[in-house]
Amino acid sequence: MAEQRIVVSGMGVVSALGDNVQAHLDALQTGKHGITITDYLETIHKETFPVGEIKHSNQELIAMLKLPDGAYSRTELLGLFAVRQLLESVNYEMDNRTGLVSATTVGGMDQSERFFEDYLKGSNLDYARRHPLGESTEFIASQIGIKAFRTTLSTACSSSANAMILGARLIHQGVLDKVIVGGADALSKFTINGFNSLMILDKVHCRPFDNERQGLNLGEAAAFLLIETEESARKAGRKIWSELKGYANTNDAYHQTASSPEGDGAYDAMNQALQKAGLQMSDMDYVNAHGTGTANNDLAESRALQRLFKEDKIPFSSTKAYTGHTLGAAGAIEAVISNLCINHKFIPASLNCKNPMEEVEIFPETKMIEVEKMDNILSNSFGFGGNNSALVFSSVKN
Amino acid sequence: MKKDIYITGLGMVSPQNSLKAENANDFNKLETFNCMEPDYKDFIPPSKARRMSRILKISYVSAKVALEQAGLEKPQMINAATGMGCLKDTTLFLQDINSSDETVLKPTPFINSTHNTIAGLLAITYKTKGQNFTFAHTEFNFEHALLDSMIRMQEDDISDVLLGGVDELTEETTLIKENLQMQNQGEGAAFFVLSDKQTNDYYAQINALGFAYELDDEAELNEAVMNFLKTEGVDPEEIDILVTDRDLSAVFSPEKQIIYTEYCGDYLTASSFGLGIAAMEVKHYQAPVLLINQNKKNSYSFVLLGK
Amino acid sequence: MDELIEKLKVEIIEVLNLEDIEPEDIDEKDSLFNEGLGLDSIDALELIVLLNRNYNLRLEKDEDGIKVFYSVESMAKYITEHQK
Repeated sequence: MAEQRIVVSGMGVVSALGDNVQAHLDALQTGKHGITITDYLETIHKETFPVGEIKHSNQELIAMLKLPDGAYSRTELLGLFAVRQLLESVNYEMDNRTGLVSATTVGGMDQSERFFEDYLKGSNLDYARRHPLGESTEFIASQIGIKAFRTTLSTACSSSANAMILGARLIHQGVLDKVIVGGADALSKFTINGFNSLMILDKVHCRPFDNERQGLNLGEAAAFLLIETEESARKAGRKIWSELKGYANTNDAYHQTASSPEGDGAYDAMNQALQKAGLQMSDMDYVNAHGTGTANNDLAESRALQRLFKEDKIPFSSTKAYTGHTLGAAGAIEAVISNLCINHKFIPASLNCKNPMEEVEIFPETKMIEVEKMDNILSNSFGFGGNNSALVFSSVKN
Repeated sequence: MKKDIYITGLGMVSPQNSLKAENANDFNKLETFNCMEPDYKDFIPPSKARRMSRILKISYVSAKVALEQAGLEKPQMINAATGMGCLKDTTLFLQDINSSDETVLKPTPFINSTHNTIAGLLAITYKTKGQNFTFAHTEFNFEHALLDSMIRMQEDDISDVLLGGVDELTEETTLIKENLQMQNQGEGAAFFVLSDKQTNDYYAQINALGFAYELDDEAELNEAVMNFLKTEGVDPEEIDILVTDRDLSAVFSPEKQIIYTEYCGDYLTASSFGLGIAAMEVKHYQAPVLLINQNKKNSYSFVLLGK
Repeated sequence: MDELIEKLKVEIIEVLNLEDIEPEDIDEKDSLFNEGLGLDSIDALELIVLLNRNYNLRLEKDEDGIKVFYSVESMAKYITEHQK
């Protein structure tokens, strides 16, 4: 029996580009990025490393969300913000066949890094309770009335792409009818210092796929999508953004942080996602690359893309110079972006890309283009631990 | 046709002498729950061990034992569950940030601090290029990893899974948990090989996994258990052994109840130890076993194991 | 410089947690990466931290790394040349 089509029927997002889906569309179509100096993080690296920061303090977020005063992690505040936006946009009626698969890498670390010594002394313990990754998911679930299935994935930068894959699988298996899938990660001293210790942060606005690139800019975001069967979406009268037609998660099995230089891991993930979709790379109208701006990722990914492109010229770009690298939220925010591209038929520019990489022949789109045809998009998310995911979104006639 | 799922390998590093235990009857109830660690030199080549934190070592050893028992050189995919992740390395990096004022930090603790380091290490070790998920939820975390594993095994391309649950106690988190008044905190790693084929020495068949959310009282729980068993065509009378994380004898009382948290302590992936004990009981007694776990909101997970 | 070489060997073993290796097992002229000790990119970063914390030195350009960290001897040379 053929599997039912899984479709995207709602989206909610907050990032350095803005507080909602429309703001993201505007930014991507006008080339207006969100990379700045941090206003809220207390770090000596404040002036050194540009970031994609959401310009709301935690206090502002708590007020906007109308939450009682209390101890919250920034991650869960952002997550709730995006999920509520999603639910309001489709006037959603919660039920027990709806689940939540969320992803994060930071969890409550944005608070723990401030209060860790206090926890040891027995104070500020309310923040300690926010630390575990799953607590942000539980918080969101209880706020929106999910009483049944909810879980958390954490696979570094591929986390929320994997959340989408798991969500789709749960629907196919009849565990759930509708799943809210996505992820959230806040900026933190921990991750800034972590990536700096690996020497892969750029001191200027990042330059994915540029030969002179020096690393990534960190970002923060929350992005969530509603997925369900096509039948379920039509029955509820919800607009269908796209079909989640293919997906795959593979492991490089090569090195803890580096990708195999030939891009084997990336190649496998994309290849398998295409196979699952029953499509070829030549069917793709656009590839939203992982494209972090690091020497290693962009080289490995380019090589893999080139192998798959063969003789075809498939447009591709990285959108991380707009949002920054949002870690656990990256897969989901780029899923939102891919869905915007399908529905508004455009290709976002790969910002700051001037010099083609010496090692490969392919070069991304450096200007925003409006297109006649945008039926199939491949979206990549590759994480530490060799964790590689690829998603295929296809247009659906409404 | 629905494939059968067998536990063909099991490795556990826990507060018990569990690593190559034949029988859970040898286990002892404890007051504090720190792992009995093996001599890692027996299991891990030094070139690998040098970069491994304790949580990675206990995971590596448990996985290795499970795979050897199953006679499987290379699992097709890996699902790991950890609620708190790699705490020691997280703490080390955080302390380094503070003590050196964010300058010139050693990268290794940061790299080892991400939750998916465990599954990533196993992928590199066994060159497993298939799916590699890390479940990092709080409650039912391990059961979610089990659920996904069972779903994947019904798909054509997967015939075996390396599945594990692990959480560690550190000096710092033991103190923090005490401050939070969390009692009986434990730790451990339990790794399983799931296969669609029996082996000579397999432990048990996993017949079913289910959840019941936010039940009002014991009567509802009893009803949920009965329904779960009924759906699987199992007469409750056939269940002689209940493995559970807290005393459920008022609700369901087969001949034997094992409260597994008395042996491994409480931690977010303790139900992996529970599944390990349940599997050992099935093998030893050649009888079905029911595993029940509860979360804070009166929700329950049920796993039915048979021979 | 011999003293420095011996000191470096001990520090490298400690910082990279090379539990099964003694200083006498390391030949100061052998390549540290690829063959020899078979160190990788993460180890390279750890050695950069070592240079900074123990000898107060920062590499001038990224490219220097390959030359400086080629062997224990080349590390000792670099330290001797650049330490004030």
